[in-house]
Amino acid sequence: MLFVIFYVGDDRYVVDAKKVIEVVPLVKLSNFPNTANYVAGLCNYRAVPVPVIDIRCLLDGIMSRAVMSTRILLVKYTDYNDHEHHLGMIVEHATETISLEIERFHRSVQHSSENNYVSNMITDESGIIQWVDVDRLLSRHDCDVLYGSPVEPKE
Amino acid sequence: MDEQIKNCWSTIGVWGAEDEKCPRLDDVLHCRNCDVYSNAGRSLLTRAIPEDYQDYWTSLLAREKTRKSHDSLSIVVFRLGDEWLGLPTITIKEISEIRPVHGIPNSQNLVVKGLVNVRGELKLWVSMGRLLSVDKGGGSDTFALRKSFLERLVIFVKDGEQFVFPVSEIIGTHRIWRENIREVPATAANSIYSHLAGLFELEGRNVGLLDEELLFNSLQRNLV
Repeated sequence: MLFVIFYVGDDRYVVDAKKVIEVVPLVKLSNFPNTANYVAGLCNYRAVPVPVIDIRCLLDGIMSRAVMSTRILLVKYTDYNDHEHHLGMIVEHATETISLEIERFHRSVQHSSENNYVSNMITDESGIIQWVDVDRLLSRHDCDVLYGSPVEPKE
Repeated sequence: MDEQIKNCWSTIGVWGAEDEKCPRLDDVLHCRNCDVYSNAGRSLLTRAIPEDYQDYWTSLLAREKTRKSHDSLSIVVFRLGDEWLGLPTITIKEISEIRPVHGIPNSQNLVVKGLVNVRGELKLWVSMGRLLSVDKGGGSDTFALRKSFLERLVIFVKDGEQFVFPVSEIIGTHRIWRENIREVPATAANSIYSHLAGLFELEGRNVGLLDEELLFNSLQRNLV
């Protein structure tokens, strides 16, 4: 299975390449007011506003550096209602893809919370690679803030 | 991050004009194996994003995609006399130099010229010119001049059967968007048009895309 690999500090993370629509440079974003601190802003993606989150900020609390290798992964994000949205992920050092055998992944010990987006990991000669599950990145609350609350069914 | 990259590879490295070479070259043989070179390459990725580059990408990403379909077809384009024709690349097994044809005795067949030896296998040599009523021998003067050394043999394969035919020239392999392939005019009654799946433009010329099924059926009929 093919993954896009990126770094948070010295740690390596991957996302499923099938979820990635395209990888673009760090473009200019518009401010997205009243959102969590890891929401970097809104990106004008093909004339549609797409929320962009900073993965380093989400995982480590530090903003990603604005350098060439920091890129935005535009991914397909499926919310808890099974609706598909576009989501931008700012990731550092996103310059390569990697092929990993899915059978070799270990389940993570941490699976208590709602947003356990790093649920699987794999080891190789240079350490651990953690798999970021795109669909679990946002909590229900944050998903509603970014994409609007779901339409209430009529009585 | 913005420190000047010391480009030793173009002074004392393999791309350098200086007589004195880098001592590391004895070990690494080529600059591309040297970590100074690869680290310099990597540092290009860790430099700050230029303002105009960011502006360019911001506006590029904001624009809606104009191309709706991504359906394309890879086509080998060749010349037969004055006609430019194409066949889907997957139907072409090989393109090779002209080889001698061995005639079949007592054969009245105008399309099947004989047998040709390709890598030890005997294959049927057919004349596309005859089949499609294209005057292959002719061609304008400029083409006639270049004739002999541009000729190639095309090995066409369909449903496991192979046919070999000579063409005047191979133009190349081109990827054509399906939306750019036009329909053949219904009024065209010529033998060549009845074998076409469509027409497309390449380098300002009209190229006829041969229909592999029709061509195959036509060739099979001529075997009898």
